[in-house]
Amino acid sequence: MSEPSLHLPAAHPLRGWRWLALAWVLVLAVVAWHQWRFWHAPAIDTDVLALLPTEAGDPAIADATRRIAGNSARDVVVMLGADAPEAALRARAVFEAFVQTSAATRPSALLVSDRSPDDWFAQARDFFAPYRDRLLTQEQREALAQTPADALAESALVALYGPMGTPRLTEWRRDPLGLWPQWWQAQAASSGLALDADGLLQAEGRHWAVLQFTLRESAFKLDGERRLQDLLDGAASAATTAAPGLRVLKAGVPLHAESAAVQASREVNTIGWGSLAAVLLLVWLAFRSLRPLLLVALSLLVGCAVALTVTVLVFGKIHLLTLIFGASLVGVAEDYGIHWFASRQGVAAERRWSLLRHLLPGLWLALLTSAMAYLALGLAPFPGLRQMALFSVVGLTAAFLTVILGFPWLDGGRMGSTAFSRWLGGTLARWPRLSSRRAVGVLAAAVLLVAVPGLFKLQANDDLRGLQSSPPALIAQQREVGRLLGMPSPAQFFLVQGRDAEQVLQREERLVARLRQVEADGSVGGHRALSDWLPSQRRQDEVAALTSRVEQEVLARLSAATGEILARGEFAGSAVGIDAFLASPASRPVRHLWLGQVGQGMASVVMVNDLSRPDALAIFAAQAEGLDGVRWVDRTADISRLLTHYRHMMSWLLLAGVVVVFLVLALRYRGQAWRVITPTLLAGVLTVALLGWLGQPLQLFNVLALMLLLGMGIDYGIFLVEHRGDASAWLAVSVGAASTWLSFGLLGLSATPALRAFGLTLLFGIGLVWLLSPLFRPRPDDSSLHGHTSE
Amino acid sequence: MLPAAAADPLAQVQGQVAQVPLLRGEFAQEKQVAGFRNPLRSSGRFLLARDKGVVWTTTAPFPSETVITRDRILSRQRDGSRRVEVDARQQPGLRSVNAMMFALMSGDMKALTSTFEVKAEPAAGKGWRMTLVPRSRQLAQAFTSVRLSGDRYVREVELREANGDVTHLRFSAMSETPATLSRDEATRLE
Repeated sequence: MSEPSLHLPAAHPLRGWRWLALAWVLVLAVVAWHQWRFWHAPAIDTDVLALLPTEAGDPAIADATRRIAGNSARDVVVMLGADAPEAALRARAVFEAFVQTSAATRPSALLVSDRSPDDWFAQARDFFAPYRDRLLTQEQREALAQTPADALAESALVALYGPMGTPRLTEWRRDPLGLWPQWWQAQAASSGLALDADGLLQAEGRHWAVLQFTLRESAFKLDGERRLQDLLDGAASAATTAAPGLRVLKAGVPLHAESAAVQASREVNTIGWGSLAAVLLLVWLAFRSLRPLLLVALSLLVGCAVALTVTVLVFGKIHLLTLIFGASLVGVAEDYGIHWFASRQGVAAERRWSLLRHLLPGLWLALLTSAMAYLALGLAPFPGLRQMALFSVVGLTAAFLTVILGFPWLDGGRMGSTAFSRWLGGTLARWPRLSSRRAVGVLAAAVLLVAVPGLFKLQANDDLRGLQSSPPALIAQQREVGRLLGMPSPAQFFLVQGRDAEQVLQREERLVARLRQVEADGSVGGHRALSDWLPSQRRQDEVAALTSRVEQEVLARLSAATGEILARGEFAGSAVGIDAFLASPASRPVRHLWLGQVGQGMASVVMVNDLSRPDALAIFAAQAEGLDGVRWVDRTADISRLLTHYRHMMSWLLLAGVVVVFLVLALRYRGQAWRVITPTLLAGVLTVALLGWLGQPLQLFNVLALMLLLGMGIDYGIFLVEHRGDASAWLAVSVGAASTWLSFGLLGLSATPALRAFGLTLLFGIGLVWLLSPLFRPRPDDSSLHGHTSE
Repeated sequence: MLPAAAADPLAQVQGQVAQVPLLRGEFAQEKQVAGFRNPLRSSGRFLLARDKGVVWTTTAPFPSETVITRDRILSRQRDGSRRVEVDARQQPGLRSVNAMMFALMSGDMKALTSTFEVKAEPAAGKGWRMTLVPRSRQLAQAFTSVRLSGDRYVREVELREANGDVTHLRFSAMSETPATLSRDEATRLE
């Protein structure tokens, strides 16, 4: 087969190669040590948000988003809905007992029950009591300012002489108008604390027991096992036995994280092991020998291990999607090993050093173009993509180094050709070549016929949902829990900034006043604002003056009516401040809304719920207009906008990449460079057209896949031009393409829409490049370019 | 007391108290409120409709009316204006207060024992006497204890609130007829 021109004594290693190989072995020893430590406690990230870009240049929004996400990262909420309150209480008891029992029988508890302390209300009331005169709802403020003192005195008298009636929460003379219970009622309603004496929530015809748990991080392993969901399912079925007809709803970030881990572990298994098995099968078919099999597997193992180690060292942890994506690396990284063995067939062991020297330029160029393509993935400021890019480049490079530094030492035996390799290599000779005008015309017509209508059908879609892969049932439950509990959306909120706490609170109050108007006419749901609990100092002083005036007037009238001398209770002399509030248990329901120091000033968020109306987002956005220091943040829309922006940017980069690659190729292949690049370009256009035919929307991840296609597809052209007419080069390209094709094809099975889009694009693209590349190969006797001659 | 009843004083009380759909009567109330030297005295009529609620009509020292239904507490004043004191639909926590009022007035032992620790005491003659202490912490924040006494009807209630106020109620002139609501009464309980 290949009989390269040899310039060096046959069995002599390249200069310095021994030392380089030794250095590489040392590096691998360090990596092995790191791997051993890493898998003891793998730092694996599952949060989809971690993949998304942090708002560049806006630390406040990034900070707010991180706080909001981090705040609920370990919470699990379970709702048990029954027709009768007794059934809900029974179900709650059984459910809690099940969780506790399972904690007792295992070494470590997964969930810790997270009830707000029973005496929370007493603590909060005690904290606020000295400031009772400074706290009024908006309705109370208006009523006190407008209602004549006589009418107020009358109501107070009725309440005094009436039946036991309303609980007062404090001494009568400290609240003669009964304002305090109403204020608490308003707080309870706005913070989702509206539970009855049994702790049940009544909604939609059912009595719901709301259970809150906190995840014990130390006991929670994202190892692909369904521990958390199994525990909750077990508890749910026990509760359902105790209360038939029970509705069980579960929500919480850990559920999504675990579900993602389970799915990822399944996908890493199918995609990773599937493509490994496919690659090894192909290697076996091609070489019928154990040595290539083991050495190619070694290069892949080294590639993945080094990639993992470097990624973890750089990013601190690795994202699950990176692992899944990395699994497809197997299909690309094996090219170098296969190339080695394809060329080794029929070459004597003593000649292997010169063979290496002969292969190196093509291998380097292939690595360079693939690495450039992967690096381009990292240009977008998506942390997730950067991780994948780094993982892939490092993995490819490590596999490459293992091949060039290790294989010549390790592959000392005989390497015969096999029937399969001869047959596959031989197909190249029978493959048509575009030599006539007619052949070119037929191809052009076929391409145009597929491409033009397909491209017209193509639609773009940059929805954030492309990144999410939680099961629909889990998302539906999450949504229902959010609706029942009036839980605010984590992705949309108002960011309020000011130079100090007082300014932030005053600005919040202006925003909240607007929100109340749109809430009152039913346009949108409620909000959660810290200033509803802790008004600004200015507001507190105004209210204190108002209540003092009105209550004294009322007491004077009541004194006259009853013949008693009635004195008003004592209150704190100054407003309650933010620090005291945050330090007290009273702030528990709203503490997470306060961001504190952000940049030069202070900041808080106001969260909103019920975004069910289609125009709710626009209504909220409009409320921030014209208010100093108030901004409406819609992360979903921002991210979709970013995805669109980077789809456009990457498309232009892709075109620029084509130009750069062409220039690099032209340096080496001169007038033949078009032969290398045209198959990849055609394959790219046809792939996009096929997506259009299939009704698949074009998104950023398709464009990124095209980038990879450019990097990998070029390799086939390079090998075919570099080793012209060489059956062993064709064998390597075919086996390499087949395994790459299988790897990405399996990626097309991923439940994550982004990865699926990626896989599908490469499935089409790689297949097409493989089919098209030989059509453009030069004639074996074409000597119009320098380079290596063949037989 | 009968021996069987002594074993379960609650059952005995429950057996004694009339479970009527409609009860009318008069009340006299005395409230001791912190800040007032003298107790606040009022009196008037009441109407208890077991399934609907209670209409509390004060006639002295000045006319006013309070209607307690399952969902809210509503007051009507001298000038006829109405004011919602409590809306249990907005604050389900107050349902328990409403439910307690119901149970107290009608002597519904079953409802009372679910929210209170009940201690029956021996009473003279045919009557009964008992002390109730809230079971739930939430209710305990409003009431420390409730004492009841009566025979066929609840005759006296003493309510001690957590803030030290004490309310004393005496019921009289109880009547089970007419057994249906008049149209006017029914509208009030709507």
